[in-house]
Amino acid sequence: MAQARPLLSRGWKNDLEVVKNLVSIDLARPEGRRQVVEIVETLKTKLTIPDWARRQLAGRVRSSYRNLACYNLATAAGVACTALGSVVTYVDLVEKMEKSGPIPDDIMESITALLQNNAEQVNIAFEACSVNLRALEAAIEDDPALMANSDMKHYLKALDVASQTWKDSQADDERRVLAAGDARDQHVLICDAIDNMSQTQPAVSDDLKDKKEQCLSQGRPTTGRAQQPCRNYAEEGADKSAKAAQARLQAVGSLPSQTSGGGVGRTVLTATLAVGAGVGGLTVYAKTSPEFRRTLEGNIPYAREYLGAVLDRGPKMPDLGLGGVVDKAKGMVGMGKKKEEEQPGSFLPKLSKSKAEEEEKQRKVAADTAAQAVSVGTEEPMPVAAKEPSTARKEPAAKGPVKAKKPVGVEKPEETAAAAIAIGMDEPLPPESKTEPKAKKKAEEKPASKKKALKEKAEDTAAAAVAAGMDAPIPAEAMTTSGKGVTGKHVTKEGKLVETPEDTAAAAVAAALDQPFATEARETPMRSPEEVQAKILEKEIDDLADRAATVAIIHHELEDLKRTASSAVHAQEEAAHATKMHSVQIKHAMDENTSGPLGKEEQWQAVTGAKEAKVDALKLAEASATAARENLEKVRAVIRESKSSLSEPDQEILAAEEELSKLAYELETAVGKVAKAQADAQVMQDYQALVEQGRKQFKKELESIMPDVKLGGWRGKLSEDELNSLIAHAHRRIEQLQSQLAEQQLLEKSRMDDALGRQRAEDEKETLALLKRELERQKQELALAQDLRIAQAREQYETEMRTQLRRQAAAHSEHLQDVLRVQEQELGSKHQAEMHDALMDERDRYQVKLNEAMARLRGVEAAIEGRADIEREARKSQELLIACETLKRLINTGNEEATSWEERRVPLSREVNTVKEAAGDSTFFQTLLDAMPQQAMEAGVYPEDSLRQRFLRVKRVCRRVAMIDETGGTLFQFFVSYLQSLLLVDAGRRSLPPGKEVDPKKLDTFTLLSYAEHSLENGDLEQAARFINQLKGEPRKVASGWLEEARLTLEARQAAQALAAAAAAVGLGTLV
Amino acid sequence: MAAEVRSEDELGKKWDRCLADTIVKMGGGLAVGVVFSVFLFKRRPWPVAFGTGVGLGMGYSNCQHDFRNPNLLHGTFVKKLEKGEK
Repeated sequence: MAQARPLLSRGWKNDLEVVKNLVSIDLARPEGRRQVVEIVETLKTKLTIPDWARRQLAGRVRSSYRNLACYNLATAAGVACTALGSVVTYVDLVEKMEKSGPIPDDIMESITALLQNNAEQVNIAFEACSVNLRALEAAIEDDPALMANSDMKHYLKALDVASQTWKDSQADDERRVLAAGDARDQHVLICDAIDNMSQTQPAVSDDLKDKKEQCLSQGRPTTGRAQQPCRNYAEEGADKSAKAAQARLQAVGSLPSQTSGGGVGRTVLTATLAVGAGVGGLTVYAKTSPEFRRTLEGNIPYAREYLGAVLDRGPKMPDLGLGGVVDKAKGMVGMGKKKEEEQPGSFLPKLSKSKAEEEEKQRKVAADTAAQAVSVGTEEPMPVAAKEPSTARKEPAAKGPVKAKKPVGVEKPEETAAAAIAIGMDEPLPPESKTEPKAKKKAEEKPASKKKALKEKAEDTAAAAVAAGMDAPIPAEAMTTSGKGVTGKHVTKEGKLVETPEDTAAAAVAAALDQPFATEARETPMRSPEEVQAKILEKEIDDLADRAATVAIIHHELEDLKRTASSAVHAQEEAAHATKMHSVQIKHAMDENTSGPLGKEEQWQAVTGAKEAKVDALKLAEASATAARENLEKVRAVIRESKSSLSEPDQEILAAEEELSKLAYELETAVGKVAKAQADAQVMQDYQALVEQGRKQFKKELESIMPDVKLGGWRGKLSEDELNSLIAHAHRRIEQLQSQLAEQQLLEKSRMDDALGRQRAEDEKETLALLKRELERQKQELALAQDLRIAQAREQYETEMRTQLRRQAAAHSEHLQDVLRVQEQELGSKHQAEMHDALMDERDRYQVKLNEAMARLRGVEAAIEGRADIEREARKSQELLIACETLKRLINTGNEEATSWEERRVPLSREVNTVKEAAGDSTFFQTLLDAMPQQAMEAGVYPEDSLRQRFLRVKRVCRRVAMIDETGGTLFQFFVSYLQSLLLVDAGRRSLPPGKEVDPKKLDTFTLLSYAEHSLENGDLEQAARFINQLKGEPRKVASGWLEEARLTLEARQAAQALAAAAAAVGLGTLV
Repeated sequence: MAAEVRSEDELGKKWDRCLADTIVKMGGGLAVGVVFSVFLFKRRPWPVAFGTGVGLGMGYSNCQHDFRNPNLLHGTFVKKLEKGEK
């Protein structure tokens, strides 16, 4: 931005103008061509893309319009470069051509046209460049943060490529133009040849001229055409980019007009407005907040003057015709500093910053006060009013240094100031105007020194106090600089390890320095126990620091006081000495008889000198005494305060108090001495006045007697008359004096008495004063001693009390232990007895309960056992039942998986064994099981179905052998029987139901068989077996196998049924 | 061991046995008759018929006897198994 600005504002527009002028420069003249080359060179240097634009392109450009602008700028610059290169090439060409001879007008024309083309291109490109630059500037102004971004490598690449392209195209163009130029050179050469030839041979000139025309026309349009697309492209690109840039500019609104002056004006206006608003706001805020104003004044140069001029325009002074005086007073007061403005707690370095400002305020206030004072004093004569400020100035000037020396670590400056003012008021200066400025002055002087010391304090943390309190038992250097020091010292002092964080220590130091400030800081609400703990700790440390600070301050004060007091005493002594000297001198001078080495005159001169010395000494003494008294008061106040603030009186403070009282006594003694000396001097003065009066009287008398005789002007001899009169007067005078003497002698005694009385009174007064002082001193000493004793006694009693308490506590604990032991024993035995009883009772009860519970348990056990027996029986019977049922089922069904009837027979031994197990040792079941046939156990029995199937075949065979009897038969008989069976159709008798009554005699084989079949079909195996049992002869033999099996089955079935019934009966029995 | 023969199947067995015996006897007679006929009787047919007749007669007689005496036991050849041989 900064680089871009000058590019535009400095000469871009001019460049455009120059480019425009480029078109109109005549290339025919050499200087014109030089000009063109120069212009082109300058323009080329300007066309280098500025660094910021490169950076911009290198950075991430968020807005697309700026990308476009950058890209367009690059393109336009490239086009411009190309065109400029072309221009240079053309100029070179012209140069070259001119070397070979004068250029023909038509060629020159074409070249000029080309040049103009190029110049126009350059023009357009430059315009595009400028517009794009402006757009870029506007965009960057819009968002300057985008300048710093860095992710537009491809744009930078594009820029590089573009620049490469410019160079390439430039080179290409140069090559092309050079080639064209070469061609044109050739054309020109040809033209020249043709011209020459036409000159030499007019005959062929026409053809040649035609050729020349051809050549020329060939060269011109070609080059023109070659440039055309380039130009079109440039125009197009420029138009586009210019449009985009204009649109962007309008959108941004920062650069709407073509002139950049508008933008500058706007910027200036905005800046002015902003600055004005800022300054106004600051001023208004500074008016409301003095601290802010102080900060401002401290930090900004000339802010003080400005704020003073703007904010401190106070009300006009009332013109009372005392302008000079007012001015004087103003000036005088202005030199001082003000005090009332200061806050007691603001012991901060900030104070020094606000010094000047306060000075201003003070000056004004003081001027006001002075003006007021002057207005009060206007009733008095002018000279007085005029004089008084000057005396006032003098007075404080004398007091100034003394005041300035005053200790300054007092925590209540107002008090001191008030004391100072009070002292000022007490001084015997009648006019009000004098008192006011003086008090003011004092008040002003003090803060000056005070501020200095305070600053010192604030800056290196009570260094002054430390310097004063180096010999203090609590090491004051603990508070000097580092909080660690404080901690360590406090630890040693406390005798226990107190862990104090550094900041706490710093806070403690701050507290020591600045009570209110620290208090304020400490007033932050604390809740958690840790905080409370920390606060307690802090408070302890604060207390310690307070004490140390107080002690340090007191010591410092005492040092000062000592100094002041000693100087005051010294001054007093000097004053007394001067007074004495004065009276001695007077005495000496008044003594008529004495005639020292000096004459009377010189003696009187010595008196005068002594008097002056006396006056000076007295003044000094008074001043120093006042200062010392003030100091005393202050120290007293400090001590009082520290006494009241600290919970218990400190040894140091007591010592300081003692010291203080001693100093006060000394001071008072010195003052008394001076007073005595003054009284003596007064006597001497009275004497002198008496003598002077007598002398005057004598002179007057003499004058009245001899008016013409001048007593002092006696020269030569006196006349007789004169002598006579003198003698007469002398006689009279002697007489008078004698009478007076007699009278005096008479009165002497009474006078003596009188004088004695006076003297006595005076002595008495003095003695009283002395007494008072002594009393005061003794009182103080006594008070001090009392305090000391009290402190000691307190300590002693405290230790004693502690010892006693400890002893008592020990005795108490011992006693307590004894009592406890006895009690323990008693209680133990009692408890044991009770315990035993209770235990026995409990045991009995428990026994009863246990028996009960045991009986119940047995009952329950029996019940459970009975129940278990029942259950077992039930389970056994169930098992038995199940086994019997299984047996029965097996007998009835056999092997169900068998494919033929023969295989359905299953051995029953397993089931029978199961039943046997289930039945246990029941004889009933044993009997029943024994009834089970052995064959059925081993081989099993056929079920009814199998028997039925077998019966079919048995029946058939039986029918075939029906005719054969028990004795057997021949083969023929068998054959006949077979025939009979074949012939016998038993359609109706095949399965004949037997009647109610069966006649055994009538039963033949066939009938029996049919009956048996019927019975079998109806499931009555037993009946069938009975019928089969009736067979005789060979059929019986045949059916014997079947019958046996059937019988077996029936037996097994019967046994199984009996078993099942018995089992069911047993099961039913268990159910009940 | 032959399975126990059921009572109703006993007659069938008898018939089987009779038939087989008769055939064997007839075949024997036929063979003797053929030998006699070829070697002794110059291929006269009657020795053959005679032999067959004798065999038939023997078979019939045996069968009759079997049916008449039902409690007669018929021996069968039993192969003796060596020990350890199945």
